[in-house]
Amino acid sequence: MPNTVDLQFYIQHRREERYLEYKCSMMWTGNDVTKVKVAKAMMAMSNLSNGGVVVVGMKELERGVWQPDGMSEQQVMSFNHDDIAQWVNDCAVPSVQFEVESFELDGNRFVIIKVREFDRIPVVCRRQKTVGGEDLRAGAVYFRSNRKHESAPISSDEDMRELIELAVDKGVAQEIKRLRELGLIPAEPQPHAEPEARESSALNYAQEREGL
Amino acid sequence: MSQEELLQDIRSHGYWRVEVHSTDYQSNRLSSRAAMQDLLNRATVSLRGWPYPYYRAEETTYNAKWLEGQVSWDYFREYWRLYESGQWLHYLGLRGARISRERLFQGRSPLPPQHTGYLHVRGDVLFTFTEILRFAVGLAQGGVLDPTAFVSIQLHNTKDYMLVEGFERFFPHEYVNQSDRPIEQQYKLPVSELSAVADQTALEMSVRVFEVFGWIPSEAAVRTLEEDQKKLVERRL
Repeated sequence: MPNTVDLQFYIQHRREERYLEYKCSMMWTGNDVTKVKVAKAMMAMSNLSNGGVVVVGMKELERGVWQPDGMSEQQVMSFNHDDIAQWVNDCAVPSVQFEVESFELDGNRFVIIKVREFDRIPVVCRRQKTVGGEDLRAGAVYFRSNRKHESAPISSDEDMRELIELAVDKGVAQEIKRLRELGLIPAEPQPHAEPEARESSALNYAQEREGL
Repeated sequence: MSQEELLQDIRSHGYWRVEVHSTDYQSNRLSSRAAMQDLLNRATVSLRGWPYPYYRAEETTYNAKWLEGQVSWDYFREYWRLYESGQWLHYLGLRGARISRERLFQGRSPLPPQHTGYLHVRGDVLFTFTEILRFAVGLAQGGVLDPTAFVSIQLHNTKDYMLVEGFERFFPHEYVNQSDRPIEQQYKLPVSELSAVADQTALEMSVRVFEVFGWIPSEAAVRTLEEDQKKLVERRL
């Protein structure tokens, strides 16, 4: 789980980033619109390199400008890991890996959901759900684009390429690790020692600069 | 303005001093003005409104040993030399003490506390390091840093400068440099590795500067800086 300084940063940052999504104060239970919104964000974050963070308890003052708002005790308590996992992972395959933590800052309480990057295969939405104008699309691969910080199905070749590259890199890295463990390829090479700059070279450069 | 006057002016406020060369001195890696200009044309980094370095071929001076350029316009102050040996030397003024608080923090109320100068986390530090390191990559690609590049980046005269997260919003705490010692960082890297590590090195160098000001960026803050750096190099700012 992120440390306190990180949690504080997420709240005080006040603008969404590719890896950081804000949500207004809400109850998890009894509100399927919330569930759809959060699930979408979590699936998108899990398809990012290094995952991402959803902070619940913020308020959008004007477009793109957020401020801490805080949540009631009841709202915070409703964000239970098992309940979220059950609902989100019923829609996601493979499962989204995440941690949930409540955090207090300046008297306000927040829920922070830290989503981990997918393990081997990108997360795909497998259930169609439409609730109150919000929908999850079966077969969609949710992502947060470089160009627009929004959790949405992949719609550009650029985003798809980025995700494929991430998946391929992870696959290759895991395969190399496996081959190393089996002793089929040599251990990671050690960085070579950097030769010292020749003193005479340094002196020549200094003379050339004439004291500048 | 003469070179001496400009340098004196640059040194009278916060400024960068950048030195890049090979670890292996050879006096004539760039034997003509054309070779120097060609290298600068290719190596100059233009990722935002103002390039690194400010280079206009027609505004340079050549004396057979080095090519030099300078600018003194509005709050921009630069003086640089590219030597025959391929050595790069650059003095670059910081804007944060040359612009009034009112102009720097346009529209902000209240203004931040009065300090000698202000240093923007991204615009002044991260992006500048990124540009310098990418410029070094350009020099390396021009063949003047073989086999190993030496990069020294110093930040001078920033005592009592305040670190600002953005001109439109501030850190919740005040991070101010209390020391009058120059912040110097040096790297030696094989040219073959330089381009692969340039951006990451720029980020690490930036973090070291922030630490001198008292800000130890959290993992999350570093990640945000990394994203902003990505936006810069992809020209999405």
